[in-house]
Amino acid sequence: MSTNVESWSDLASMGAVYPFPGIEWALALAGVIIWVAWHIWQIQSENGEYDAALRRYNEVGLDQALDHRGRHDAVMEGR
Amino acid sequence: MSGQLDSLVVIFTEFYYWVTVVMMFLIHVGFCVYEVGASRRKNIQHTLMKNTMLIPLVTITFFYFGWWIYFAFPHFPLIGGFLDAPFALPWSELMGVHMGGAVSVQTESLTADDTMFWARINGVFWAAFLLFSWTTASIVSGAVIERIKTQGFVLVAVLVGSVTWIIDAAWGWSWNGWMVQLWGYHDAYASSVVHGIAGGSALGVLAVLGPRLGKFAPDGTPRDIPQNSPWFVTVGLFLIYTGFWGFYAACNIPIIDFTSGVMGTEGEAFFTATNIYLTPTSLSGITFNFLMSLSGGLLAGYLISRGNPFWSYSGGLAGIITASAGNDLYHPIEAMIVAMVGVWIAYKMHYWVERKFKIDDAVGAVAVHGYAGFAGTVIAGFLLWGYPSNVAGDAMGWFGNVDGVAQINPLGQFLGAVLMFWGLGFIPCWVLAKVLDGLGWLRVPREVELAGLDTHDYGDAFPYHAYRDTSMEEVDRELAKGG
Repeated sequence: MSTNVESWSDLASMGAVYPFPGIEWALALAGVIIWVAWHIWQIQSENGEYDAALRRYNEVGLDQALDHRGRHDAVMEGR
Repeated sequence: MSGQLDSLVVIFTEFYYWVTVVMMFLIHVGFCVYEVGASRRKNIQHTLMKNTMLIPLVTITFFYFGWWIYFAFPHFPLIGGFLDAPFALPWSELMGVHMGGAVSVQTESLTADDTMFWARINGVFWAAFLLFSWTTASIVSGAVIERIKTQGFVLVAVLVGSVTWIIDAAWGWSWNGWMVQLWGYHDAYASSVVHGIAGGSALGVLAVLGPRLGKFAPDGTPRDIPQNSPWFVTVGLFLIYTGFWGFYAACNIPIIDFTSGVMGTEGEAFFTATNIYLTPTSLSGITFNFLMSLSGGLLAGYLISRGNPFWSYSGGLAGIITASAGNDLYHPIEAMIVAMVGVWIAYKMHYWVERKFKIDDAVGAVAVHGYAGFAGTVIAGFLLWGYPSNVAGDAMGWFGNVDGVAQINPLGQFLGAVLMFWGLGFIPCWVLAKVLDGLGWLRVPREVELAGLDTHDYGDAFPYHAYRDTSMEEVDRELAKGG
């Protein structure tokens, strides 16, 4: 497999100089998959965090969370 | 590249846009600092990360389709079809490191000169437009802080940053855009092309998202939610001013032979800068106007808010935004006065809309960007009435012509402002926000909002500083009890 460039002696006639030209379609497809997969993961992760927070607040009471606003450890330990 | 003068022009242009991109990064830094300052302590890190993550998501989607939209859409696809833009497709060789020499199947429809040009300019020109995309999406970000889910916001950001704003740029911020050619639309530094559409988009999301809990008292009176750090807010706005220099420079084409390169005529070369419509201006002239409109905005913001730091600084920004549509041509004192008028409109509109429609725009983004941008676009229609809107038109304007092309006029400017604020701003974002709301992807749960978006996920942004309640904590406790 060629990385495309073996000499810089004729720069004026050169086109793309990145490795493996010709696979741009595959690269574009891979990028789209990464993009969509990131959204799926992020949505699941963020909603999971909120579900966990709601469970915890129901357990210790929302007042407890308000007492310890911003202090993750305190709310989690129910202090 | 061959020909020393051509080579110098291209490489100077390449470097020029590269510098503007670096400067424009400060706009996003400013937005992040500003939003962090405006957020309450319990929401700081969520606010920061929400705005930060639009950077990669808008960037990759602008690579995939935003850049192509700009070149393919100027003729309004439903009527004029798509234009060919092989250099802007994500699988084009010219979307990477390219020496401009060899012609492949991807570049065969381009001339050798075009291939050489895009090989050098594509990345920096793409990046300059991309930074406008970040700005447009980031304007929405500030308005919706402290209650929007990151997942919903980033999808709005992709819509605004990589689809709707770049469609409006193709239509109204391109020498061959149909709004320019038919309506005589003129918006040199993007009063509506960036700011109007962003303000409309923010309003569309806010209309569905609703106000922060406690923002309005039971009788509907708006409460002033204290900022975490007024100092951060003002430093953030200072940084946005700084980045705005790069924004203005990036809106120009820095050097072109107007005789042959624009007019297509033979004769003595005349090198000048132009705006995006290829009509002449100068970096010197727009520097006068940038600073005079900033000054007019600051004076008006200070006056109308009686020295309030937030509104004084926001006034500076709104002043520039108002004058931007015509700042390629205005006299500096005209720019200053236009800026003052825009700030007055933005300030009054912000509070009227807040009280009348219960819209909670946390940072005044709809006002500073949307209302000021809208007003500035319309004002330019009167002050610049009769100027040729472009130099290479191939169609007659609907609202008057001069020198064979559409003239700038009030009706075209008003219709353009409406189309950008409402048609491409408010409506698409309102629809998307409705869909996101239906999916449960838009707003955080009530309990999480009251406890703070950082409380469970991130923890305290200032763990070594004691917490002190403000008037809003009492409101939160009442709401937690179901009040």
